[in-house]
Amino acid sequence: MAGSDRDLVKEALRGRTIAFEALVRRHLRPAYAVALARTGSPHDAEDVCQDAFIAALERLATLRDPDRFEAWLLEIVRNRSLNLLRSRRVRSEEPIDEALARGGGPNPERDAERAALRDDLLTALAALDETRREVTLLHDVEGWRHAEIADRLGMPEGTVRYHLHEARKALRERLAARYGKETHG
Amino acid sequence: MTDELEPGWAPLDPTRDPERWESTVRGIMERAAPILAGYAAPGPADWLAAWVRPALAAAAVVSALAIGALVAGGGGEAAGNGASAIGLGDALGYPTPVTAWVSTGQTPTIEELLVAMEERNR
Repeated sequence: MAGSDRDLVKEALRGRTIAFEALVRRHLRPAYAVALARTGSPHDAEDVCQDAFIAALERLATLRDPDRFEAWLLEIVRNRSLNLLRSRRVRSEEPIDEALARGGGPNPERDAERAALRDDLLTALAALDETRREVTLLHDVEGWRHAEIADRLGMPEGTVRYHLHEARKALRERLAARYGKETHG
Repeated sequence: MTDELEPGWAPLDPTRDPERWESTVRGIMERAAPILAGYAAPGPADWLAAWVRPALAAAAVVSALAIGALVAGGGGEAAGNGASAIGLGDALGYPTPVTAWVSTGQTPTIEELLVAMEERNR
């Protein structure tokens, strides 16, 4: 279902499932990126996204400006991530063998390699602060532009560029040792 | 941008596992279903809004009919009831004898005129 966020929010408030599903499909990826940046765990990120979308739906009528649905949702994602980490106190990373068992596909070698790569990336990301993780994932994984990130996170575009530059430098240094190739961006 | 970093960001792309991604979407939609059903069902405010509008319209029609009936009925009654009828002379404040002379075409005597003028000056 196409349409602006404003239209979809309006329709969802009338109980139209298709409208809410369109909102979910449109915003799940950035929500996941933010949750992953905050929790550091794909499994936790999925849980946080589910909870955040449900919380958003329950409070949808209180959203003053439906055009700002995404920024509002991402704020809920951030708060939920924080609550999860607080409640756990110790971050529980999903074990690689669990991911492999779940995957169970026809190519276990490829799955194992993928899981290892993911683990390396998450470990490298964990060394960054939350803002830099979020900026990096939104830009490099979700493909958001600097201006979009600046708008959604409420910071100047120059600050976004700075965070991204510093984050990439730190990630390259960490990952170069393992992958033996330091690139310059 | 992924070429700037080895091994690239692809392993973190959640849609690389479409089945799992769809499962996440389904999970959200299953939990959303009862909430959406609640939004679809009319609440007390909706019932009230649905009831108030036709009720107000009906009240307006009844009021209009009642006012029309009162105006029409009241006018007829006044015309048929001599006690409540007010003449032009009374309305202008002329003494009763003068009004009577005008209505009957009778010519008053000087004495009657003096009495009537005295009454008016009181």
